[in-house]
Amino acid sequence: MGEVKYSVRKAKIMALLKMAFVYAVLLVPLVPVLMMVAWLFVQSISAGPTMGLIPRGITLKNFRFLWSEIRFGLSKYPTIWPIVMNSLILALGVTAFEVPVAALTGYALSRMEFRGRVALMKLIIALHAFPGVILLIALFYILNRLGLYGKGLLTLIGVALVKAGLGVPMDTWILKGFFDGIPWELEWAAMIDGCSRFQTWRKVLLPIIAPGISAVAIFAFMSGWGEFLIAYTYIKRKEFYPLSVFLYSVIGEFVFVDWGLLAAVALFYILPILLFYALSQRTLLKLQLVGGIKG
Amino acid sequence: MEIRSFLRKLRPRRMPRLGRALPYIYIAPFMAYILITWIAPVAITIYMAFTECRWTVTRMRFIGLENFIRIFTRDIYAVDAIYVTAIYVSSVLVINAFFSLILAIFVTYFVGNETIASAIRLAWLIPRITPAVIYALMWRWFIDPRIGPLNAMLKALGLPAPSDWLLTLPYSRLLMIAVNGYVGASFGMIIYSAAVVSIPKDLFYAAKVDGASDFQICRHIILPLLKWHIFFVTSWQALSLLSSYEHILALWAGAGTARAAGVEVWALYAYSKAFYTSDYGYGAALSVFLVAIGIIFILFFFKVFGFERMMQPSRVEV
Amino acid sequence: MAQKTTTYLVIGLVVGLIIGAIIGVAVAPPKGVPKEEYDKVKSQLEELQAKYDALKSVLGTLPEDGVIKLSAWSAGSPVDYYRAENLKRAAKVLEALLRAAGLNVKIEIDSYYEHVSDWGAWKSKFVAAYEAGEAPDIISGIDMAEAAEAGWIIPLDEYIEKYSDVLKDIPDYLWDACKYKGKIWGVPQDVASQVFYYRKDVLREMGWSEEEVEALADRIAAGEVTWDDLMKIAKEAMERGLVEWGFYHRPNWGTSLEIPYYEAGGEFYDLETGKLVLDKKALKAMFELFYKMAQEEKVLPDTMIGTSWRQIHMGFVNGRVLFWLGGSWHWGEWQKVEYHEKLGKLPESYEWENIGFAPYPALTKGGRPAMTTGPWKYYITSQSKYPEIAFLLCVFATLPPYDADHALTSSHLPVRYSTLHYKPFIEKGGFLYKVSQYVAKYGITKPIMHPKWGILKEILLEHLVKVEKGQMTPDEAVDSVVRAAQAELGEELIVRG
Repeated sequence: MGEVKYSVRKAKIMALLKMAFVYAVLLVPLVPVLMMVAWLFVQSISAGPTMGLIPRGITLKNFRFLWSEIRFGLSKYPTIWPIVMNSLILALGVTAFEVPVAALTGYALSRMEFRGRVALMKLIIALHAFPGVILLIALFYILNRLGLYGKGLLTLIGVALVKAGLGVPMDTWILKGFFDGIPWELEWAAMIDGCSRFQTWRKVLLPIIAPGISAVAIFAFMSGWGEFLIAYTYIKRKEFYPLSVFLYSVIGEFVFVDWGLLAAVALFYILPILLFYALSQRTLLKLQLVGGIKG
Repeated sequence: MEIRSFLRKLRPRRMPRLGRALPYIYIAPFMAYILITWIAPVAITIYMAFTECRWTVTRMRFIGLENFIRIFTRDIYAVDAIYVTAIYVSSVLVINAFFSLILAIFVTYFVGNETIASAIRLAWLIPRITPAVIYALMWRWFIDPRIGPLNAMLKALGLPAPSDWLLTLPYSRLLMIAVNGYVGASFGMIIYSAAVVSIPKDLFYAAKVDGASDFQICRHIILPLLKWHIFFVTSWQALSLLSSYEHILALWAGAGTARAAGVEVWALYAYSKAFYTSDYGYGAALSVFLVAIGIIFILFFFKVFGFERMMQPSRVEV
Repeated sequence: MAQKTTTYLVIGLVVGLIIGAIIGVAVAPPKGVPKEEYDKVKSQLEELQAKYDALKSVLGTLPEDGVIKLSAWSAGSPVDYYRAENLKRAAKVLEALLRAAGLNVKIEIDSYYEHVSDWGAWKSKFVAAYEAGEAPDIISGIDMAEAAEAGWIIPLDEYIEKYSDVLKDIPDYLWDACKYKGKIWGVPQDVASQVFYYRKDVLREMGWSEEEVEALADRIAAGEVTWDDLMKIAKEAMERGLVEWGFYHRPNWGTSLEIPYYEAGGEFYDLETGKLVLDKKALKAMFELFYKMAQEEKVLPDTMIGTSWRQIHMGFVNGRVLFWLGGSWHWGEWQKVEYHEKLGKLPESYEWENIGFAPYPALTKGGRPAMTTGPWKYYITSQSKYPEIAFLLCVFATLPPYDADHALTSSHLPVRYSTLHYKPFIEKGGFLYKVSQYVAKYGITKPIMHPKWGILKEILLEHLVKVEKGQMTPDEAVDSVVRAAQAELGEELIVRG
């Protein structure tokens, strides 16, 4: 490093420019996204359809679906809350089915030596090469085989199970990363204290990887919350439709749409996920997919 | 719950000498899931690729290699689809794996205020967490030459603004890259950010004391430490992109339009064959082809990036 | 009120006939009646008796408690909900009929309606139900040829024969559209007809007299005004800044885009062989027309395909576009959706004042204008336990009052001739009445009953985009379409011209 002559002022300007550059890179590409969200918001409180960012009269009537009956042609939903409930069952179901299994397997992959361990890890990566698209047809067949067509709540749970199965490889991989980051000594000490291997896992290790657990829990919740096609295909009665299917009927062909209502429902649909993420930022920052960094 | 009671029985044994079975008990539920949702469907799909299957899985007619022969000899769209897929995967990968790295370092290392950093990260997550249909709707508004703000902004900047973004090449492909890039950037951003956060701060302080500039810190401390993360994100995202299609489908609202716009990627082509023209057998063959390419990718990553080192346990079991 | 009365009349009439028949057969020949006359009446009555027995035989599989449970899935846009509602009303009619005939039954129908936007998903939903053995009795909105091939639906010829007298006012051309491989697989529910719209207010601004404006529709219908003439008018209107665009057409593939192809003598499906057809000459005429519009005269945006429906409707409804290649249902849609920037939903009086309609113009002077029409169909699934009852419900769902309700709500044409004479329809259905007059003269039905038609449509759409964008000349597009279609369809395609 050569000797640098500088005045305090110059350094300040340089620092300012640097930060300006940093913020420009971070924020300028965000402009479209923020505008789109703003549009969605404006639309949802606008009395008439608006194509710009200025509402045509402000109203809350687009959010009326939250407290009053909703009609689409003949379909009538007395209230939206049972639908929200279905979505919650689905999303929480996926989380409940997915996370414990991923935690068990992640632990085994990280801490145990067994035949087929490396093969299993390779398999997890390889599964990622299979496009979910086309598995759909085969999955439909399997769901039918399991007799899960049109069974209401049971179908919801079945869909949750399938979604959990689809998500579990990725989660396992993430949690394995978290387990890798825990010093082996900790576990060892617990076992010397008389804990069984399972107890150690549950009482010592799980609390430590709580951030990882909540990260995969969020992913799982999100995948359940967003599920559309399987739910639409397999759920027969509209009492058991989740929010995503409901939204589909709102969107229609982009023709008959009540834009305000659509925007309001869309916001309502995204909001929980957004909140979840906002609250779990710190957790996400602890994600370690490829082992911790050893300084 | 069977596992729990089973393990409870084993409790008297103090030392973890539960025999060879224990790891398999741990992975048993996982294997059950995988069997139902992955192995079985994959097997069915592979079999389906060798059949003519027009309606349902229950009615397949074995036709041997016919579908694959069709891909290589008679399919007039295959070459285009490969070309589009290559453009798509490589361009979006640059955003997903490298631009996201810049974003992560900037937001984690440079932005001091944690609240602001959080807000920025959250904003970058929006495209990812918005359902595809709504995301597509928002983009349709944004790019609309008449009412959307994009062209107005471009014109204000003196840049060329096409009369139509959806169907005019090369704009349609730019759009495809942007739409998917926004979705993908956050994945790398989260993983890299987490990695940067986990670097002990002392390292930065020490370097600063030695007179290193921020750029040098990034170049000589952060980047080397993030090597594995970059490898991981690159390969993972390459595979994800190879098989992703839903945002293209949502925005172009139909396979026919996507083809005309020059944005029909291979996965979308397979989807449209299966679900729009009900040629499930051929759609399956197209996906099996895609999987073959994916596997080649994986082997490549394993070899070139020495990916296998990630498979090692962090500590060797006693 | 009027509807109810008519419903009761219809019920009363049929019930009366049946009861009359029973009584008539039981009674001995009255004295003093000529033998001929008596035999004629007697044979008529015997026929009715046979029908009554048939009706009873329908119920041969009756459940113990006399409750017949059926389910139906209907689909469409939000204004098409009578597709489901009318089945419920039909169930009431049939129940009343059967009761009147002395059969104590109850018909419960679970009539589900959905506003479908992804037909692929709708089909998957049906297939899933079918595979699980829980298919509804009545389904619509799936491809007939495919469903017939797959065995999901049953042929209805036997029933149609049996109940011909309640079906005879459904025109033959609609039945033709329900035929596949020599059998009839569907019951017509409504008729979609393409309608060509123009803005009267713009023409007035161009200095046309009121008579000229009003006469345009007839001149188009007479083949005096062709596509080329309209392009000239469009160009003038654009040059004078009265409209932004001369023409708009639909943003994805649909029958309205096929009309020039039919006008040039082409067809996409050969009834004889059941194969798909490409007529190179007609294909060229079709591509040339759109090429001329978008590239030469520049009266059609070259980005039409993929434009949002909303934008299209707003363009025409607000008078920014002169001609719209639409369908009869749009007339109704504009009254129900807020497209107009000031008025919101259009009152019908505004439409009559400012919007004119005609068949699609002819390709050449003196040529024949055209409008394609085709029925929406109910199908009976092969898993139905009461196919005959399900069939009767589909039939009764289009009794004139119900047919009229659906037509007036959805702005589709009714399927029965009698509906055209049904008073409430005549009173409120001025537009549809006029359209059906055009249909009677210029209507063409081109059912394409091939499970692989979807593949050909994709190819056509792709090339239409390239032609309108100027990336391909019409000649190149014809060659390329033929090449692609031959590769994809092989033996199942006939190329002509």
